[in-house]
Amino acid sequence: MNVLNLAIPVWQTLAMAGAGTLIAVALGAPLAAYIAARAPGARAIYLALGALRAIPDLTLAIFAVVVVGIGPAAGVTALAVFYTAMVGKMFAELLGTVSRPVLESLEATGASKFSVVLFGALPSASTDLLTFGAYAFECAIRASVVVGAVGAGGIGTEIVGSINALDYRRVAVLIAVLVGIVWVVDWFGAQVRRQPLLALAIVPLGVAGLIGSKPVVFAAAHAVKTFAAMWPPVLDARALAALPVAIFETLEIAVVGTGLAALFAIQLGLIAARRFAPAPVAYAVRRVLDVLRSVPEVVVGLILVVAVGIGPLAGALALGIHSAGVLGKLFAESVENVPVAALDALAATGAGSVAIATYGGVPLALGPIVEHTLFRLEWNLRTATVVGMIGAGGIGQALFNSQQTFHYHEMLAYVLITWGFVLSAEALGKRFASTLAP
Amino acid sequence: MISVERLVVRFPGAARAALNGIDLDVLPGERLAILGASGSGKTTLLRAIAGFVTPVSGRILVDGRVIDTHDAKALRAQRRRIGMIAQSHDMVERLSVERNVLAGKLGAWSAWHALRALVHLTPGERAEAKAILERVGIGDFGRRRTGSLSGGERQRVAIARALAQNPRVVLADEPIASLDEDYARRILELLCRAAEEERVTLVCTLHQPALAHEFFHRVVRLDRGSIGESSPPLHV
Ligand SMILES: Nc1ncnc2c1ncn2[C@@H]1O[C@H](COP(=O)(O)OP(=O)(O)O)[C@@H](O)[C@H]1O
Ligand SMILES: [Mg+2]
Repeated sequence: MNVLNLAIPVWQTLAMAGAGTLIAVALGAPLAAYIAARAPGARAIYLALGALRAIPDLTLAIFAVVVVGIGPAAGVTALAVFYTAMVGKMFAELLGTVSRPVLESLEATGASKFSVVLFGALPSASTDLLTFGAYAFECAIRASVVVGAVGAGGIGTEIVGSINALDYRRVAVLIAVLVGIVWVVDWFGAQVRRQPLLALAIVPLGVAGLIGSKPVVFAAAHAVKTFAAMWPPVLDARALAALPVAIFETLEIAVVGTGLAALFAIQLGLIAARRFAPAPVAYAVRRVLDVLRSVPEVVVGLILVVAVGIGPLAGALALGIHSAGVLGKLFAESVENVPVAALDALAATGAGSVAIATYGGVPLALGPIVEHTLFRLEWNLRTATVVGMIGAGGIGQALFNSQQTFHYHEMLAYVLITWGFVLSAEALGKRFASTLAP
Repeated sequence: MISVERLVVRFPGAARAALNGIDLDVLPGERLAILGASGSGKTTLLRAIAGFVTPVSGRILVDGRVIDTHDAKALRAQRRRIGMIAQSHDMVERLSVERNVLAGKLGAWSAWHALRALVHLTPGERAEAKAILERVGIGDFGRRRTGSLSGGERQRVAIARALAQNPRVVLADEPIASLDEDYARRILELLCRAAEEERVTLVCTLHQPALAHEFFHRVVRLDRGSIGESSPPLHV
């Protein structure tokens, strides 16, 4: 295989993530400062950012591909919008955690709220801001693979192309490369937590990415026209009749996927915990979990759609496999946090390690295990709306079909429905969280 | 210079008023000490003068103008004339000493100026910070990180910040708490000398009657939110 064939998609993926993160910080930081200064309308902007963040990245990407055209510029646009909302909201929250008396001592000089945020809150929260910026970049890398799946360029687009060309060797190589990139970025994130200024390394990458992906500003006029042509959102009678089924399928993908994941994660998590299984076995399982987590749901879904065919089963399995990796790691940590004394008591009865794990580890860590699973369910409700776009059924598939057939009024309607669906899932998640909290 | 008229402050949910009908006049250039036990309302009184506490009734005038916490623009203009040295001498730990000193000028700066100063200080600004730091006896500290300073050193930076503001009034809240007697004396000397040189009105809370009488023109006592006995103005 030609190395250059690999270098270009890898570069595009990194460049999209870098450029998207850079735009997101450039737009999100001033918004966050505005919110933190409690300037007029700050509350409304904060809520708007929270709402905007509920549109899944892939949904934004499919939208951007129509508006901006196929290629990395669409990916950068989608990532920029999604991460501006995320960075703006989170930066505002971080700036809000700065100690009140410090800010008051600056206000006492007669400084404006903005000056106080800039001179007091910004430097005080700088470490957290940089660390979160690096975290956003980590997420953007995964997302930039995902948005590629609908034609936004990079590794995602290559994977789809290779699957369609039945070149499974190339698919395998691309996924291995993807896992490698995710690990490098994870490692980078860990370095940033130690030395926050390292986060600034994203800036040159972002600038190069922006230059490389030919900023969308040039196409602004075209973009506005295309967007206007989508208005108003309309679903015809046939689509309306099919809507309940699509929504049910999406729910099914999320619930079945999360259930499967939890089932496998309990067993993998117990083995992975530094406690019950022999060290080499635990180590090996931890690495397996790492791999499962590294491959985004959408990429798993792309392969499964080929393997098990188009439909909700592929989507549920895709969410299940990825979430098993995520939950397995979290469950292992929860079990590791169970007090040693409690398990020693069981060991004293002569119980074997499987019995100790089952009757000691799981029940004692049940609280966090349930909490992680519910949190994951909320996440999967969101993701279920997007795996559909690669052929796994539900609202996502309906959205994708309408884009492919140029039914843009319908497509806009599905974007709004997806948005509403995710917002409801989040509201439900908050209700759960508040009932679970002691 | 400062007139406090029948000031009543009550915090939400509190059983009794934190300040219970305070009447107090401070003359221009006067140095006034306020003595009082913990919880007697010293901090609340100073914060009310700086417009951080909204009174239930009564009013405060500084330089003839009412402190109105509901008029943000006028309040900022008022605060520019009032230097505040808070009890916990709160500073931006992450920033250098010189930036914390120059923070006294935030009220006079635009937000853009603040952003620029965060990234880069001009040689003129550096020199100004150094000159003020020299007055409080830590001329070489400019480039140090404020988080690494000791309590006494921070107190000096807090005074330097108030000086950088070039105010008409300085409110100092227990500036010598948690300093040993020797150091406390030096800080008071510094504060009072600066007030004298700049012709600034100084209101300072503290716990030590002896030091209060030694360094200040007048001493009043605050007791559970009311002004108690007061020594007459000595010489202004
Ligand atoms: N922000 C506040 N909220 C509620 N109560 C407060 C607040 N600040 C001060 N108090 C109360 O007001 C009273 C006076 O406090 P303070 O002015 O800090 O006294 P001092 O500075 O003399 O120690 C105390 O009873 C204190 O608990
Ligand atoms: Mg006090």
